[in-house]
Amino acid sequence: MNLMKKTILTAMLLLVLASVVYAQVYTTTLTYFNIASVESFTVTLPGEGAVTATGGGAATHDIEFNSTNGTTNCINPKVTGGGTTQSDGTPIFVIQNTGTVNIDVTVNFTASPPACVKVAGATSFAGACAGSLIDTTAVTVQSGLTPSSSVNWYEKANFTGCTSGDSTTRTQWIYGVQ
Amino acid sequence: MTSFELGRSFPQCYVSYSSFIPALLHPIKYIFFTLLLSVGLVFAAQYRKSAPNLCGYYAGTSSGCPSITTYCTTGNYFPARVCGASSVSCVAETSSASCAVCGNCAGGSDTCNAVACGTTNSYGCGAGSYCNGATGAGSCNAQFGTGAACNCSSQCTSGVCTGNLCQAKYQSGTNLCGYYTGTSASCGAANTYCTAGNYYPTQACSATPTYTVCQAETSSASCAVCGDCAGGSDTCGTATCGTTYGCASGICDGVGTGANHCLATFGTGAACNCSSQCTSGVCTDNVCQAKYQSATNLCGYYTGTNPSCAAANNFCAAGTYYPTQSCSATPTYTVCQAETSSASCAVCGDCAGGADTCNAVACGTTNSYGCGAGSYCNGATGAGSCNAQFGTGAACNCSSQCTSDVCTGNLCQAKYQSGTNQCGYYTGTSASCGAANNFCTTSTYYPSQACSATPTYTVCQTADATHSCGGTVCGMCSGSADTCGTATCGTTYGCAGGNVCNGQGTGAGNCVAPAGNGTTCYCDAMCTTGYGCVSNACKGNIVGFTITLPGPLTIPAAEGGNATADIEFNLTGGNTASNVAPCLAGTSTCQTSGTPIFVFTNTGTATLNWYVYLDTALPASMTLKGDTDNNPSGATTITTAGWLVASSIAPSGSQNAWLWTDFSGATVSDVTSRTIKNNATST
Repeated sequence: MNLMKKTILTAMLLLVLASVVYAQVYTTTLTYFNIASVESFTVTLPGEGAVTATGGGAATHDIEFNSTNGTTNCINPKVTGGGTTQSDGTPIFVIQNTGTVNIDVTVNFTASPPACVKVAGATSFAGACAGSLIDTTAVTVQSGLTPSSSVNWYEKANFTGCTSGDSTTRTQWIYGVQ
Repeated sequence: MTSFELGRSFPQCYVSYSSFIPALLHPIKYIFFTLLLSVGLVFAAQYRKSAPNLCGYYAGTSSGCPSITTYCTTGNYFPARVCGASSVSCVAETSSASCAVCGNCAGGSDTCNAVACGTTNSYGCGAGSYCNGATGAGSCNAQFGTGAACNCSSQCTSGVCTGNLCQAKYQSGTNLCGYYTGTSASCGAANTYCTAGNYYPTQACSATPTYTVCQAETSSASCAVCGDCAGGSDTCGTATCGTTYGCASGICDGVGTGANHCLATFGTGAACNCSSQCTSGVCTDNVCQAKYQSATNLCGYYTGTNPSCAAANNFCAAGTYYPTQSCSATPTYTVCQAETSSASCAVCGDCAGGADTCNAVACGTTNSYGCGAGSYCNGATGAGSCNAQFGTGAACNCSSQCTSDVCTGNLCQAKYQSGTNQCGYYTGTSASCGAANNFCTTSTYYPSQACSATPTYTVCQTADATHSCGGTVCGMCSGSADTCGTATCGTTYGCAGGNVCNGQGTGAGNCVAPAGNGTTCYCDAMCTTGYGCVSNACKGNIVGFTITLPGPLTIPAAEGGNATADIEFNLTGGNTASNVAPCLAGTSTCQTSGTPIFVFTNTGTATLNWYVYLDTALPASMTLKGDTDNNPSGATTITTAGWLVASSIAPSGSQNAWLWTDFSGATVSDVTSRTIKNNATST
């Protein structure tokens, strides 16, 4: 009996010592992973570097639609100065969401093109010529473009009965709105 | 910018096209304008005739040429013509036609054809007569003398028409500082004056004077210079006190103009308006003052506010003096002089005499300033404030009053004495040098020296080879003076070798030797090597560590986990970024290259391995990683499986860890939080 008591007491003592010696001590650090709400997107023209949109508007390289006789359909735009011409698989605009929130992407001209010129756009090369007509009203490129995603945008122009006097320039804006 | 252009990109098409049909590409268009011209001839009846007065001619539509109605301008004339349709224009004067030139002619046809008074003074008028500003022969007048009515200066023999009266102009009188101006027909009184340094030469009343403006003074004309002249015309042309403008003698009093304001200079005590009125050159409080006198007290001098030079009321600063001189308005010395070797006996602060006054109220700062030799100002002024230096225990206001040069608690103190306990020294608050109440820090000592007001050693000395082994170095001393000078547990201050303070109080009774397992303790230093103090008992193989965040914020590890301050990784631009460093949450205190986010310190007695765990996995757009140096290259990804930061960290050893997060294509919906666990195991 005494031996059993001694054994039990010894075991309890060892258990206590072990709990003291090898008690698990540690620290905890609550760690936040914060992500700012950022609206940001880039526009890339064929053969050009990506241009990041800014609040005041960032200018891309200029593009042009050229008609040789004043009446031409489905003209592909090209980057001025001998740059790349839009083709299937090479959209005139690649718009990428570089922010952290979904954005709605639209395009529009700041002033209407001449009456003899109609510019249309679509997310496919084949659909561009008969796509959404682009004028001063916003045309949706894609709604809810998710972060890190991109969308291709093709444009084509129809010239009907234009004269050299109709040669002109217009500014096209691409908006990204949360 | 989007361009819509036709043809510019394909010029070769037009080249080939235009070669076939050039006319269509380049049509020539004309616009014809027909200009109709008509010429009309007018044959109106007109007769012209020149009269005896060759300056006029008959003009216009009068067939009878009855009167002269048009005149030539000066320098032109009209050749004699009969009435008829001949030339109608005036012609320019020539030498052969000079006798007929308008404006030079003399005759009975004076008409004053010009209406500008005097502008063509003989235009149409006879010799010596001038137009008065009206037209017609009756408007020709001879020049008028002084006083006659006139319309312009050309009508006056004096050439001066002012107020419609011919005026005599310019005359200088006996007062050479003034001259007569044109408004006075009689040249009777000067009413304009030259400024100082200029004069007006004497000349008779004349319409054509030689001098019409003030002349600059020259050596040959110095006797006539305004302000220097003596005469009966003193006028004080200006009211500025101290000017001599227009005064024969004396100077203007500044009160008004006129000879009665020219006053001689005054002696001391007279009323004055400016210093120039005083022979002393000092006008203070409207009284001429005698200025500057040094007395027997060479440290002070008399100033201008005291006409009698009776008492010194300004004093030189220490190191300067004022030489002896009699009361004078023009003293040799007007400011304190720097002490020189030849003048050292007179230097303020070094002087001994009966003029002790303690003029400075700063106690002791100029200990003999105005006081006799060996006496010092006590902080008040007056001779009664000069005191000899006091011995230890006397009342004092500043240390300079004490022979020991120590005044503490308004008592002169004996300062500095080291006693048998060389770890302490006596300070100035003890008048008797009886007890040490300041102690040196560990590894410094205080050499033995007698109680003295001028001790050799006044601060603790650094232990060196000579003193370190001799029991003179504090913290290493053994003897009856071990005191545990501080109550911080674990210090060895004042304890015999090997003993440490137990932190429970000061005095030798609180010095204890470190002991082993089970011994009562209040800090780890009270336990022998390999043991730590746990719950006031020395225990072995203890796992204990602290984690220190930037700040620094040190948190000891505890059973069940002890929370540190929160940290955060902030993605602020775009959705992708690498190596984003953490900050303390909500602060700008962040991990830097020199400040790791975690510093692990082994505070136990066991050798430890350090682990960092993540409680749950992060979203796919985030990767948490860590390294033991500040370069994220080669960092280890931290997961729920843990990261072994370092192995075998010895007791008292420490280890750094830097963390970073890589974000890739993150969205705001990925925002989250996790718990990082710092854990350690015994090796």
